[in-house]
Amino acid sequence: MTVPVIRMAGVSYEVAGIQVLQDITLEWHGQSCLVVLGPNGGGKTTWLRLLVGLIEPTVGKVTVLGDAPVRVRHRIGYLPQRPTHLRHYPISVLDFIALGQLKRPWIGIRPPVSDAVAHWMHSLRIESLSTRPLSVLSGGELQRVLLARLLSNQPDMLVLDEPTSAMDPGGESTLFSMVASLSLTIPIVMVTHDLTAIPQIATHIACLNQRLVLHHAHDITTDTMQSLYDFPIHLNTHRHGHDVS
Amino acid sequence: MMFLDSYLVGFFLALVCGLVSPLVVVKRLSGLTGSVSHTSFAGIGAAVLWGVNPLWGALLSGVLAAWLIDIIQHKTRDHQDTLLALVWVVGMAVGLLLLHFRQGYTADLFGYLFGNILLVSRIDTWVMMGWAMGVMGVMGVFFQLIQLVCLDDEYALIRHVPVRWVNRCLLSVLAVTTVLASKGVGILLVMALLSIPGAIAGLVCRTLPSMMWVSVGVAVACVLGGLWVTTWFNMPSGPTMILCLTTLYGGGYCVKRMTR
Repeated sequence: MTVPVIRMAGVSYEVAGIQVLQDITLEWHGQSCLVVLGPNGGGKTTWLRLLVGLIEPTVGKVTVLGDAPVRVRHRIGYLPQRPTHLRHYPISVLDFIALGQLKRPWIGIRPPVSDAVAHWMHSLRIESLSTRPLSVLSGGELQRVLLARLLSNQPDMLVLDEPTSAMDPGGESTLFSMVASLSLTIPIVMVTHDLTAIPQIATHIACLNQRLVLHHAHDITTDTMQSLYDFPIHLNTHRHGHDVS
Repeated sequence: MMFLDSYLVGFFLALVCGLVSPLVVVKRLSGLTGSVSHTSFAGIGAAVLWGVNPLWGALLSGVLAAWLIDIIQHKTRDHQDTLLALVWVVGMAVGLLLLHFRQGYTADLFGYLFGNILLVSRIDTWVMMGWAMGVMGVMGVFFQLIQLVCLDDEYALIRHVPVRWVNRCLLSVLAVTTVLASKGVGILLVMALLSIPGAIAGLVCRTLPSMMWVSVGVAVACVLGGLWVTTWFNMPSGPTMILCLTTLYGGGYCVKRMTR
């Protein structure tokens, strides 16, 4: 029996007296891509931060890749909702991505540029940005650079928080294709508000609004979506999946 | 050569401040250096009261102040600015009170507050040289690590870098540099020596290594140049050096705006 990629047992999270997540229990065995949907303030980002061990649950236990998140988070490629680096820091795009590969014993002046860095810069179409200062990038360019940084580490799992929020349609399409391709080899957890992602990449959907309910992607109905977002959403079911309007 | 020790101390002082200044500018730590330098006055007061070398008191209180500020910044999101200001003024007030209790104390308070690089001794030269070599060595060996933690500490944490430990070390280096630099330019002006060279470098440089080179060059030129003016025209050393730096920054800023 395979170890679940994510296991949560009675997990709740509270901050400043506000219940953000409530009694979440699930096991997900990492089949392809888990898309997390939910309204604003539903706890999606908090849930992801529990997965990468940046916060601890108030109640309950979280296990990722068979171990405590704090122990395995270096194997997880985490893309936060908002960039966490200093925006005005004087560094080029190439050095920023290469610096993200830093490993023990953390010695040296300039990080080496590995083949993986070159590969992902090419795949994400950011080779032309390599000498550009990080501080002048647009939102979409920065998201692709951040993705290149974490993918260059060849993670065992990806956790992506709204990775296409600043991207144009072309960038979005490239990313979804990439996620679909990567999900064949590593488990991916992705928060998105883009419901068109469901048919393209999702095998499972986690509906999260303080509490979490896990579905197979093909089990999602219009009622599920409308109940989750409290907003009219129509799902058109075709032979090969859903379209959303 | 007259004032050889002063020039040597000035050179090594400028070297280490020039190296550290870009980090102060990029990480917005100018306020912290001010709090550390003013709190070191409490250590000076305590050391004088107990008959110990004031430098040791200043170093201990400076490093403790840096760690306290680090804890404050991690524990609180609100009122950080107010708490930093409190550390600043309480340190100064405690120092003045302790010196008041020292009966018959006649040490040169003015020297602590505004510095007097012309009065440094041969021992000060060795101390400053040793510290500069140490800082250069650490920066050279762990430069990537320092860059990563300064650039994105959350990412570094996920990559299993001991971020809190690295931050404490950096703050300790900054605190010791601040206290040692106070000998040259004084407690009240050291914040400028740790900020302005990096700010000047930031006008022309796009990477941290190049900022450090330019910052060191600027700091050495202004400190030694200011010292030369001091010795020839009998002016106070600390303010003279700082005005050299400020003039250079003002000129550089104006040129950058005009050529944009």
